[in-house]
Amino acid sequence: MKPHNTQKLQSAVLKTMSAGNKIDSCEKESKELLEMVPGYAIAYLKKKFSRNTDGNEKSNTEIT
Amino acid sequence: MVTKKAILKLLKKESIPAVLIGGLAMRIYNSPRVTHDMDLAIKTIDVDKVIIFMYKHGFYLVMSAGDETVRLCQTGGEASEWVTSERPGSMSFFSFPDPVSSQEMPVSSVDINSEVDFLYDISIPFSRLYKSAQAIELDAVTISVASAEDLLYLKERRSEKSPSDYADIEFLRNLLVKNRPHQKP
Repeated sequence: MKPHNTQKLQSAVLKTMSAGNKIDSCEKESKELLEMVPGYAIAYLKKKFSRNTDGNEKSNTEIT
Repeated sequence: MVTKKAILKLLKKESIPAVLIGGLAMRIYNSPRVTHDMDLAIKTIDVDKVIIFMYKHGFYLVMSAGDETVRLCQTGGEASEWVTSERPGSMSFFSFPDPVSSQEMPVSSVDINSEVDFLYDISIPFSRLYKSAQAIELDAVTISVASAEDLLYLKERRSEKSPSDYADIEFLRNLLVKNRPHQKP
């Protein structure tokens, strides 16, 4: 299955969930992603805070 | 650890108005994208209340991150002083599974999934964001989720867009087109 179709399928599944379950499923997928990619957490934090302190783009615009 | 859902419900209980924005709000609109953090817009006047609230629930404000360590405020008082002097426009809170013993903690000790960001200086005034937000039921508590129009506006205003930002913009535009009321020919 192509990634695009996978995303469509996931969107369809999410439509059937409550808001609470959507938040839970996102947390679960996030944890799985962190476990799958070693060093991700360090890279994520560095990128996040370098953007916040570069003087050009304050954290107030950083909505991920 | 206090979960993101619990934070949303507790903020409501403590009468601190907050609007869910960012990736988790996208998720509520059925976007398949994955995010680690929860972004909440708040009023500037509530910044100190939020700091007290987050420290009460075991979170720490992180100021910066290097190759090996993060710098954090050990107390709510320190966090309040830092926000007053630096005026960052937002605050990033994390929980640490191990006891926090110093202002510098190893990066590996941070629970990335616990991240809650509070933004109080964004391009939409809080009153407008709050007024146009969707009321969503979350385990018998009503929370405010930014409207799709406002999420799109915030995404489009970002100066440096990532590939996921462009995907979010496309998702939101499609959502708004689908939900547009049918016009008579």
